[in-house]
Amino acid sequence: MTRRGIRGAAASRWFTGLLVAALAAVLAFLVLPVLAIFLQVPPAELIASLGDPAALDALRLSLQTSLTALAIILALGTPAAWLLATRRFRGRELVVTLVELPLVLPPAVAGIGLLAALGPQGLLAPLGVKVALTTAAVVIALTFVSAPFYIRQAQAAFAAVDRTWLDASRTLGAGEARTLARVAIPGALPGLAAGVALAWGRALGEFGATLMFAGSFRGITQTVPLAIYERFATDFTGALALSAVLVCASAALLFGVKVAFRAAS
Amino acid sequence: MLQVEATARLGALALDVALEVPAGSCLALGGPSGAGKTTVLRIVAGLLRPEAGIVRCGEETWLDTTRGIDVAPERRRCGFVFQDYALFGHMSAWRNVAYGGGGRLRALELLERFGLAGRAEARPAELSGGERQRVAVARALAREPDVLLLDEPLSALDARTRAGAARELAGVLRTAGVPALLVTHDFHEAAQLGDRVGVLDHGRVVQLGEAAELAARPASPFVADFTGAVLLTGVARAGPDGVTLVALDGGGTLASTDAASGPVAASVYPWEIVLEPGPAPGSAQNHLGAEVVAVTTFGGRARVALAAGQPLVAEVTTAAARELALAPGARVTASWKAAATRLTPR
Repeated sequence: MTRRGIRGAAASRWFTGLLVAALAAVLAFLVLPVLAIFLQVPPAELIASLGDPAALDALRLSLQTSLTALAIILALGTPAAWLLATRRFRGRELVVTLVELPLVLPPAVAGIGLLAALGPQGLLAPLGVKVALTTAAVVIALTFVSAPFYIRQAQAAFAAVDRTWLDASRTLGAGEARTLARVAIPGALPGLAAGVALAWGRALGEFGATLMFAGSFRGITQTVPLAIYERFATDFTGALALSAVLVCASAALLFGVKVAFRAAS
Repeated sequence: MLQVEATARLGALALDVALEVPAGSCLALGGPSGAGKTTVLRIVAGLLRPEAGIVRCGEETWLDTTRGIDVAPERRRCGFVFQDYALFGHMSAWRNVAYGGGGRLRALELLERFGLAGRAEARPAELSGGERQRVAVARALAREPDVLLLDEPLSALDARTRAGAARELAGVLRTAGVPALLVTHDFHEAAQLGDRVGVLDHGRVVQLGEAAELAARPASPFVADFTGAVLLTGVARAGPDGVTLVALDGGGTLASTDAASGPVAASVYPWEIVLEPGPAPGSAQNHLGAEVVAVTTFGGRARVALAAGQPLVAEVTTAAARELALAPGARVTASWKAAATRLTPR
């Protein structure tokens, strides 16, 4: 090996060391709080505090509202994403941007916006819309913040489906609706599943908009994040237990996304 | 009877065609990529709407832009075999075939006919290229189509699979009893599968006829080139005994029995050219001195690329190639008959 080669190898080792140190710092910082949730309280105590009826109510409500929101998002978002993926029309870019807007909106702004539109003195109040502070308000807030995650992903997944598949389906006697159901959706399934997981993850973690628009009433609007917030000052163990459940659910969703992407590629 | 008339402007392509295909007959559309061959198929299938045009199949009118008729693709009975087959990746072979209708039994029957009875449950990704092609043809037939549209049905296959697949496809076209439009860039494929061959260039049909007719009397240098002939350019004038003489660009003279004058393209088929050792004997017509550039053997034939003022290709038996000791750099004389030289104006 030449002297230059040795020096080059030494420099590269030095630089790799730096990269490893940076990654280690990032990892420690990101993992520590998650780990702490599980280490602060003995597992038995964590499980016991889940027996608290208020905690169970929050879990049930979170599951119920997030699944309802997901059903609404799937039913309306899938055809909307299909339209955006397959048609070119004037103002399409604007429509896409409007659909994506909630992604970058601060939750507090989303909450204020929902109140201004659907609240007691909101835009639609004269029409008799009274949903604020109800379970329906929770579903609306969750739908608002998480729909863009699914629609964006679904649009990309549909756009990636082989165009000749769609042409072939048409020449084989299937109209557009049947082509969507039997060829486009199955062909885009991994991408759609990833979109579902992302939207569901966002819905489960939603806090700010829900608190402002729906309030925090046990059994009616108090989802898991709101329950955690309510008890972190008075019942830290209970807050930890609920947090642990959310960590597990989020990790499972993330894992699901990765599996879906691997199946797609 | 399938009748297609269409004018369309798509980017650089200005398509303007009028074609008729009788039932039970196959019209092969040839020409370079970008000539508009696939566009014609898409217009027939309804996947593309031309600015103006008519598509009639039997008694039905699928498209008539003057009367505002445009039947949706799913309601035109077209059996479309796509270039890359477009088999649905998430469905087994039989589900692909049954997609267009006919049910499982008919799908299995068709797969059996194509020797794929044992592959019914396989996904497209598990099938070989030849198997995928046969599933695609079976799927197009399952619909009991009124017209068959085939877009380069053999181009995705390797050379060994292709010969068998071409024979099989010729059989399908013979027995289908419906008009068929087939797109290919290969003249031999067009000649083998088409009852007639239409050559498309820049969106227009430049010649349409039987393959043998196109090869024997190409209407333009472009068609001659498509049929595989060697092209030599030069200037023609009348010679003695009713023979036309062509002074070739780059030197040499050739004779043809075709009448022509002025700038022409002379075409001759590689297998009409005879090679002899040594330099050309004086100024004899249709004898060109040439240097061997490359020799490629395939089967019992050798394709000899020559430099003779203009590039030339001769096809001889491998035995003759050995006897002449053909190797790059060797000097030979290429000759052919005046009657084998076609002249087309440039």
